[in-house]
Amino acid sequence: MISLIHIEATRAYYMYMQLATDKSPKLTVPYRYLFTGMVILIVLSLGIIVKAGAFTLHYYSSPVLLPLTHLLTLGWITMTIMGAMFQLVPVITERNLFNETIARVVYYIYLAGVAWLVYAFATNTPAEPGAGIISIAVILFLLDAALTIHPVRGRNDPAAGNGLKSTPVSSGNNSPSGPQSIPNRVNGLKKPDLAVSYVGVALFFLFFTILSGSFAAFGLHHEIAYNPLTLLFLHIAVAGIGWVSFIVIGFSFRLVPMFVLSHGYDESFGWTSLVMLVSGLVFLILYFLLHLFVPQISGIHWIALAGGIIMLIGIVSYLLQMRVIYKQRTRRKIEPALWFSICAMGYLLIAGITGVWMLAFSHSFRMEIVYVVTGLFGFAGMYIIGMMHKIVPFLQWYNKYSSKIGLEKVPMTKDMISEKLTWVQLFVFNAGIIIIVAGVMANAPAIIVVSGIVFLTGSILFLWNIANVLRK
Amino acid sequence: MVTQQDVLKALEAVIDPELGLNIVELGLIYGVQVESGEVSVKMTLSARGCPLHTSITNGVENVIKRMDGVNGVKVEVVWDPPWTPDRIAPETKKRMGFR
Repeated sequence: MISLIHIEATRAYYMYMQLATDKSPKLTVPYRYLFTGMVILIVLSLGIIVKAGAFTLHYYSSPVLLPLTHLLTLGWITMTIMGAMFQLVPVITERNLFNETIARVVYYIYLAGVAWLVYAFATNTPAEPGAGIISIAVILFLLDAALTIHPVRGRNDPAAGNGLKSTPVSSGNNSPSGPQSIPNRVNGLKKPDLAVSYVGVALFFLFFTILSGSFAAFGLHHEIAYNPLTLLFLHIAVAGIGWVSFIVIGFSFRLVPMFVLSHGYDESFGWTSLVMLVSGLVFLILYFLLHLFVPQISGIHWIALAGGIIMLIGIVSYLLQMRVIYKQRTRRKIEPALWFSICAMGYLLIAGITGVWMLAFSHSFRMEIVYVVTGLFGFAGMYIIGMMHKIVPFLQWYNKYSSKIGLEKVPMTKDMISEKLTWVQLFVFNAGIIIIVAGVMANAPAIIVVSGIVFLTGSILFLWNIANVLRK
Repeated sequence: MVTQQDVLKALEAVIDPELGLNIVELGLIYGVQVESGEVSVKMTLSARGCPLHTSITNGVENVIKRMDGVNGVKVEVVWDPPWTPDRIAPETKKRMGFR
């Protein structure tokens, strides 16, 4: 007699598989970006040790701070994000990368551009060629991503299934008792996706960043009609907030729910954060543009302050959304990689409050450094380090073991990386951030040197831990 | 002679690499039929076009094919019902420290 054993279905198995599919490019494509980024982080740490004194000087276009800042933002953060994008865009869109060769070539162009730019800043020579090369690489990157994404008009609802395509619910033999997935179509229209919306906005601001940065770099060495320092501030605001923060927030909305197994949550706070952050940034950009094109104008400081306050509301909304996601999580234990993201959110709040404080009360150079350190390294950097500890082990697992399922015993993804070493890094990087902030506030280069040593230790452990994954 | 329980036991070898749970515990298997050594498995994946569709179905087939007394395997992937964390068995949740 034939009988049927009914067991309830689950989609959990495949949540994690959103990091890699048969549409993914070869691993050498993302790896070249990710590992180069980690090496550059080591170089950056060495730079902090060697040039600690620059963190106490009030000089924005310093031949030390400029190269270090760009090593951080372009060399590490953007390099890593580009690698992750080349991996994730095909997965999210379920399409092959428009052109894998472009992804490979962009790496070399971009790396050359960053090297040129950083060298030019360090030697106080014209940086336009470097900026131009980076612009070419970024445009190619955006084209490749856009032409891969283009046919995708919307996507599945992450709140319903962490990035999985919603399965149409029909009556069947099985009667699920739990909540149903939320259809991703409302009145025939696909629901917009929060993570993809953030990424789209971030890519737009990346273009703006390159544009404003190129003009600012040109203005540092040539006579131009506009104040290059205002252009530089505009560039910093758009780069730090519009590109780096938005892309990290966008990725977090996709990755965090996936790693903690969070489902069925309301995304209202997330959408509020997007509206508020973009609106606030537009206010800030307007403020700088008015200063650029109408230099004699006065009494418009309130525009920048309003922008800062609106963005702080956006940050709080984002944190509330993440709280909802974490509260709704299935996996109770929070892994060290996820603790990086929790710490990152704390630094984001500090950066947001510092930013508003500077706009409202004082505008000291030290506070600006603290703002940049907590915002860029504390928020974006810590997020990236944490996510790398989840993404790379899975990519390696998928590449090596996915075809061996059922044929032989395969390791778990957690066996691919040392959790103990990840905890150590969490401690070390947090210590580095706290020490460098203390050093800047105390105007003490010796303390900043210590922070550089701590960062160097963390960076080497980071590279070691991730590189070891490749041997598994 | 192969039984449904034997097949389910064998399928426990197919493990979720992230959660450390097998596909039976996770509830991916909707049903198993055994008739004259012919095994039919009805199971689910995340969605149509699921990234590991082939890997998993091949894994299921490989595991069953290696069982004594099995003459053939048929794996049918279905998409209903959908999954939420509430559907993980309470004892599994407790063991894994899930909510």
